[in-house]
Amino acid sequence: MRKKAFEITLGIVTSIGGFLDVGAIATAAQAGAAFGFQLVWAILLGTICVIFLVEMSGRLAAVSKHTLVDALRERFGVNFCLVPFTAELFVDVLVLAAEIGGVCLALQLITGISFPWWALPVAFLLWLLLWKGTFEIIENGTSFFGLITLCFVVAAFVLHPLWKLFGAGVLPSLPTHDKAHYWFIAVAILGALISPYLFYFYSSGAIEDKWGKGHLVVNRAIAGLGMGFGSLVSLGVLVVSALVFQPRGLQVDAYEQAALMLTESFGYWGFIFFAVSLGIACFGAALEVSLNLAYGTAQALGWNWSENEHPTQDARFSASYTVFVFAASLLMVIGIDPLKLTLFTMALTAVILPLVIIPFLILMNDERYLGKHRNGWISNGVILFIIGLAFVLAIVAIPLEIIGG
Amino acid sequence: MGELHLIRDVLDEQVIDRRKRKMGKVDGLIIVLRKDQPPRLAYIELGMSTLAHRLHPRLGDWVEALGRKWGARQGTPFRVPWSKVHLLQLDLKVDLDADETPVLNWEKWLNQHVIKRIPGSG
Repeated sequence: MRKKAFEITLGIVTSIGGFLDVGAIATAAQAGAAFGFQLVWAILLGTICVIFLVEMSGRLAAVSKHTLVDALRERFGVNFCLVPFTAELFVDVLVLAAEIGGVCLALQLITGISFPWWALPVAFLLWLLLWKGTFEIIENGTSFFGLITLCFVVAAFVLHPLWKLFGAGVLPSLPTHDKAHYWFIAVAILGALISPYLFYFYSSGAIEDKWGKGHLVVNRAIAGLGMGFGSLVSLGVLVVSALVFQPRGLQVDAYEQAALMLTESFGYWGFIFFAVSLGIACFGAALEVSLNLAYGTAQALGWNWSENEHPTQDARFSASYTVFVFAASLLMVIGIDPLKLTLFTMALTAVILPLVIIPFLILMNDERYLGKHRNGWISNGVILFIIGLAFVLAIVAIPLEIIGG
Repeated sequence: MGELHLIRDVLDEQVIDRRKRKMGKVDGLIIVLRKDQPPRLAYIELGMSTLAHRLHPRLGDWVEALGRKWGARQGTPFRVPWSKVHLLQLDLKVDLDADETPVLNWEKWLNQHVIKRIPGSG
């Protein structure tokens, strides 16, 4: 009992500390600056969806002892899976580049040295941790440091927002200006929160941690409470951005501007808090995305894989993350704007969601894998509704955003 | 056990050896045609070229040619006789030792020539 309580607490704390990544920070900051509290609903909707998806992927792994990628190939065959796997691989590499970009920008903010110079050193540090670390170190270590991102929540309270206005944002409403941009940011928020790497990674983690049916309660608590409280950090970013930038008519077009959002609450330290939060959140996410890419490749092809083994025990798996980390970092070396890449990637994620999630839903209703732990109509209904909405918004909003510049 | 659906229950399933080491997925099925007798499932096949052939024949030829040139002596797919296959709930266990088969040739080559040379690998 005590062990379960510890597992749940640890899981919740790491979910909160690990909730923010480059996408969540960038989209929430842009939303707050441009539209105040009006896009709170998008964060809440994305959080509900991700809670269900994470719970499902943990349940699949705990009951069937198979990861999501394993089960998808086995259930649907390689020809069918080629499209979602390729789409996921492509988007994950872009997400990894964006996360590495986030770390580089944090270093640029602190040192003044331009971000492309940091790309290879950051990639090397990432690789070194993957090479030498264990799953536990990677999962828990960075998330504990990630608790510094709670400074956004503290800052939100320090600024005394009008909670009535915040409450009004809980329900979707039509924008009064920049309609195309409003829907684009809504799509990017959904794409950032419902990141497929998150639940793919979670199912691999459940196998690494040797979960069984006895972990179903732990899984539900971590998914619900961890992701639920984690989203408070995203809401914190939106609230602070709304209160600091919107009244001054400032848009967040670059991370250098976003870095000033905490100075009103914490003075000079606010700048440091922002840079450190950005750096740690993105570094933690980059570790997860790198591992997820290697997990996915190894599982799709049936190789041995485990972050808890020495690289010599699963050479192809270790070689995979090595290649992915350095390949993604090259996008930053050539100086692609990390903020633009982030927003584009998050919106693209929303487009591929149905491709990735519909087969996942079918799997979650398969008796062979889940037995009596199959999905109920609530899980199916909620996921279908939110994914459908994100997809429709994405195919409408992305062309409009591109045309509008 | 009742019915066995080859596509659903065998093709693309995970194959593990007798020491529970992962050998790969079932990339192909070999069924032999016999005169005046029903076809018989003879082998399961593991290998990148089999997998690539299923995606597109030309891709398969290309992977096969690459395999012959640089394939760490694994140019041809590996066949496991059906008689050595045991069905587990979701996986297939084969009565073989993965180390004694060519399916881990790439893994061993990579280990020997790259991974082991990097400090801290083992």
